[in-house]
Amino acid sequence: MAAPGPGEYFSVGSHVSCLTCLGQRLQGEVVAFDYQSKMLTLKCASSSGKPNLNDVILINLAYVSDVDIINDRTETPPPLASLNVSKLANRARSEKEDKLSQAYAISAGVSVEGQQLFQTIHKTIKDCKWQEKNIIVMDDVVISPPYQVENCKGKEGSALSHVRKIVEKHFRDVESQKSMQRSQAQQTQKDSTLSS
Amino acid sequence: MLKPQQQPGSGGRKASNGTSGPAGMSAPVSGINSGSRTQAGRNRASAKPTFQSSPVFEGVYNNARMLHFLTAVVGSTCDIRVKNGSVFEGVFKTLSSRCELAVDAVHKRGEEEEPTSILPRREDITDTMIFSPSDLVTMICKDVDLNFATRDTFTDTAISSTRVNGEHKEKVLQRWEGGESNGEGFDLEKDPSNGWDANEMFRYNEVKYGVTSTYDSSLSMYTVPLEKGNSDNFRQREARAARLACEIESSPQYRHRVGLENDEGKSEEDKYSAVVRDGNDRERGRESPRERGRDSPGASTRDGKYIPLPQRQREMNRERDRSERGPGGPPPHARLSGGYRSNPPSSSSPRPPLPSAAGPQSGVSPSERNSPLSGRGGAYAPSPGPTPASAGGPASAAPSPSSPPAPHGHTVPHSHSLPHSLSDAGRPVNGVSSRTSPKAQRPPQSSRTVRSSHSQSSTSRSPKSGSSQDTPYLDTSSVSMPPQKMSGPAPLFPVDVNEILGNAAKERAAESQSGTEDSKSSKVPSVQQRSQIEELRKFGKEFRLQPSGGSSSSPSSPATANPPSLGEVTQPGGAKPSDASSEPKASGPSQPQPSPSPAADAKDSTSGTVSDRHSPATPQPARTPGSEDSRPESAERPEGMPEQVKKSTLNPNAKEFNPIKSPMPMVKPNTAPTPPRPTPPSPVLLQHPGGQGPLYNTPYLSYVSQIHPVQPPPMYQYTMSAVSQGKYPRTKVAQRSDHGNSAPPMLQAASSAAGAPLVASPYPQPYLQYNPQQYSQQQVLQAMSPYPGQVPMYSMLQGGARMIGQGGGPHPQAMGPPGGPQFSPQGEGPQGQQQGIYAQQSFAHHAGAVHQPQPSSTPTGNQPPPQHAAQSPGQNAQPGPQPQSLYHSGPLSAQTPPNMPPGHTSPQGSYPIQGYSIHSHQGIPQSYPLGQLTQAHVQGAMAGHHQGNHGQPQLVMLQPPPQQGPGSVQQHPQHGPQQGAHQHFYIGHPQAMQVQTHPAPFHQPGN
Repeated sequence: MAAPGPGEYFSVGSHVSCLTCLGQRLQGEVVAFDYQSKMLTLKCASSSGKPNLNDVILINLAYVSDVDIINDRTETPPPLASLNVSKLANRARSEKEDKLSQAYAISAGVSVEGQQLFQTIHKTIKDCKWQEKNIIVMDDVVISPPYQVENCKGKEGSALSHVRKIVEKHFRDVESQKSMQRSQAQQTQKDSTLSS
Repeated sequence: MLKPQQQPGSGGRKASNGTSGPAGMSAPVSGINSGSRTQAGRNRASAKPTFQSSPVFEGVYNNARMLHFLTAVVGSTCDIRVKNGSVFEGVFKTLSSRCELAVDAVHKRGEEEEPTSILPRREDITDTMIFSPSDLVTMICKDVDLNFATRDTFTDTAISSTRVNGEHKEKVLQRWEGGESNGEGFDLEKDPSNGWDANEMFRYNEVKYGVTSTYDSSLSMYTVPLEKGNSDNFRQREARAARLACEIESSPQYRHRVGLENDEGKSEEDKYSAVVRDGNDRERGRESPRERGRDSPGASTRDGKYIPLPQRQREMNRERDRSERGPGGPPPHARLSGGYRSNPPSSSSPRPPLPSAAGPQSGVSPSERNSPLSGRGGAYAPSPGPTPASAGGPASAAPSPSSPPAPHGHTVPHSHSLPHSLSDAGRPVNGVSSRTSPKAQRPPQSSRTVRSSHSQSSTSRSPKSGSSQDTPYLDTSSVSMPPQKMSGPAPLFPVDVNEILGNAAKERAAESQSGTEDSKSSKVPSVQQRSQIEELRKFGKEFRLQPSGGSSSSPSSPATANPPSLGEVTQPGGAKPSDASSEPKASGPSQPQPSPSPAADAKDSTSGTVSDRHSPATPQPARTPGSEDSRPESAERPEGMPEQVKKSTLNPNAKEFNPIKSPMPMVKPNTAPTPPRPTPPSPVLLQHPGGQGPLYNTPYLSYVSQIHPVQPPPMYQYTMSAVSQGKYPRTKVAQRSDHGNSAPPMLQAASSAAGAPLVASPYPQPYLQYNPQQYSQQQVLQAMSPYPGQVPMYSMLQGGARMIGQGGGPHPQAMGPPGGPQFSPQGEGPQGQQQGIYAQQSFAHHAGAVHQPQPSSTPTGNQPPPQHAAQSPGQNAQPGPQPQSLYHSGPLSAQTPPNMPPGHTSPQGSYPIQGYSIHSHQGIPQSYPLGQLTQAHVQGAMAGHHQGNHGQPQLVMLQPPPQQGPGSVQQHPQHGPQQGAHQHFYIGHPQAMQVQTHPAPFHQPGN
């Protein structure tokens, strides 16, 4: 995988930067490159800042310009581990189902707040689903619009109290995020203007 | 943002091509072929990689690294930008060799919109889109865990390297600075002693930490030392204390409780098996094994397994007996009276005797208590006489049991036989021990015998238990007579069965002993009979005493007279109160139990020994007396009064007799065992069948469970079925055909005529069959009610499944061929099962279109037979009665019809087995086709559940169905997880795999 020159070949492990035809600047570590299809795969730090996660970008070099190699690879890439395909397939299926079920809920007219709450709960408790406009958690707790803490109903017990805690924290976080996002939005705008 | 459709045009076309990618993706690891890269991928025809078979991959598939990372992001949310600037968000599914990307659940969104800000509506989502590389600019998968599919969570390496509390950093190893030695210089090899002595520890703590212990070995702070004296008073008290201790320790309850603590005689299965064995014949037989196991572990291996539940039951019975015993005194009398009366009849009619026998047995023990006093002296005398009674009680009981119901005989014989075999010497003792033990130990034995007898004759049990100790003797005497008589007839059959079945040799031996006893009784009779007669007379007196108390004893005036006489004679009467009465005679000091021990030496032996003794004793009495003895006894009893006196003398004789008896038992065992065996085997067979049958018919699970308790085989079958099911899935087609075949005979006919007709016919039959089985087992009935509902569902489901999967054509074909073969090999039983299958199939055919709506539900039903049953209920409700009726009728009719005629138990047993085998093959296959692999798994799980729950599950099932009326949902309660899975599968199955996913979503929404 020798790299004759920038823009032609990429060595795995090197960091590259490129600009797409849509004007999007992408940067990351090369993890794979396919010459025939002109596909380049980059691994980037997670956009959400989570340490254990990465963003993986598949780039069609046919629509990319301004490819720069920031630095060549420093070490031999680690061998590839075998993948549990069935595990991946299951994830794909479950993700799809989740998305579709959520779409059904939204089609039913669920408010944005409800959708967000659902996502928040879903992060903690996988066993939650939409039933019309109600969120059903663990088949035990029903959260009906407007999805406030007092709307959590179900059999008194740890499940209900736990769900209430999640709902309570969710709205607390939403409030704090709103203020944060405002300031962040301004910053990102500045950054983007500067970078471009 | 731009024009969604335009760009999609290239990238957004819906296609299934991408699906091939996933399969190929697994191969990424194979390696990178940099040199052999070719552009072959460009051709669509080549889209599907053949890399698996050949090392040469096409297109991107040649790039291991690319394939690896694109595979690693499968299932993650990706944003795909196409040339026109549109952004599509979906779940990355796979890629083709030409790097076409398949994305599921795609919706178009604004380029820079927050992913979560606006969620797509269902109408905006495209199930699957394939993006051509020519249209693709970038695909960004955010927040992907690249280790998701590579992480192994369960290896030491993985665990040690996993982040701790969110900290993801490698551990820094530190060198151990403790020095060469292990800290304190301890060397495991140096100290040969086993741990530290307490004083050593005290000393160490005192030296090392300055802690001084206040420990005083005399425990003066907690108790007061016993001041021993030489006064008579002290000695008396000491003796009394010893006696009390002996009594307590010899008490059946004590032993029982100790046994519980020590898990004596309990196998793992006993302790943890969920299978509850009813008090049926088998249980009896098993109980005997248990007893054997306890008494003589080696005796019954098989029994041991089964024993657990039976033991429990026995225990229960014992408790009952105990509770009853209090009152038992009177009951025994009644029993005795009954027993006496019955004795004569018993000879003619086994069962009647049995009850009486049972009563007698229990009665015997009581008699021992009561009479023991008188006898003790005769305890020994009793042993002869009593032995007959006690032993006889037991023995007689054993014989009687054996004779009456083979099962009974088995149990009794077993216990007895074992004891006999174990302690020949003890046999004499047994008689004694039985007496003594009867009180303490005997209860168990008596209870056992009683139980066995009870099992044989339910009615007799209670009495037995109640009277077990006190009345037992009386009862036993009477009982022994009947039993023997009983045994005579039954044994023959049992033996054959035993041989065939090859039941536990132990049981046989036990039984044989009883049988031998019986047979011997005829031989030995002269001596033994005499002795026995005497004993019987004594017993009669004793019994009478008690009976007299009870007054219930109609037996004879003598009896009434005897009681008083006994009291007088035995004066031991004083002892009687404490059961020790007998002891006093035999061994003044020791209580009843002690006395036994002296008498037999072995008596003191624990319950096990006791049981042995008992068994011997019982065998002896029973044996010698045999059928003949009973008669003599009647004669003797009248004489009772004089005999009583003799009894005291007789007791010693009894010992002598015992030896003889012991030999006798040995010989007898064959006969005795056989009788009991016969019955047991038959039950076993029956049970097995039932168990099998249930297995096959998933719906029947409840049935099976019921059966299982009784018979071990069922359990195995279940497992087998589950396994087979798992396998079947793959061979869906074949299975289907098989199913068709199996069911076909019935179905075909039915199908030819009409779905309904078939159903109708099946109904009656199935029910009949089931009923027999169920009835026999009791639980069956419960199961039955549920089944009907469930079954229908099943049929419906299956029908639907068949329709969907196979279509109309396949069914008939399959049906025809299989049916022929199956029937011939399996015989009636199989047919029944097959029929059941057929019924389902037929339903499917009939229902076909109609059921289709239910497909989701049907699939579940189809998948596992068991599941079907369970699930079917819910579905059934929807389908309506017809399906149910059909379903039941099919299975039931097939099995029941044949079975019914021959005999409920036997037919059932045979049928179930056959049916089982058949079902597994046929039923499973069918289910699989519909349900797919997952379903199969579920089924297996289901099966397991069913097994565990058996009886209860059935009930549950029954209840759920009604509630579940809606269908699959109802089922969920029981099999929540499974159902969910099933539904998906079901849905999916009809359609293509890809489709399945879609269906699933839909269903969910619907729900």
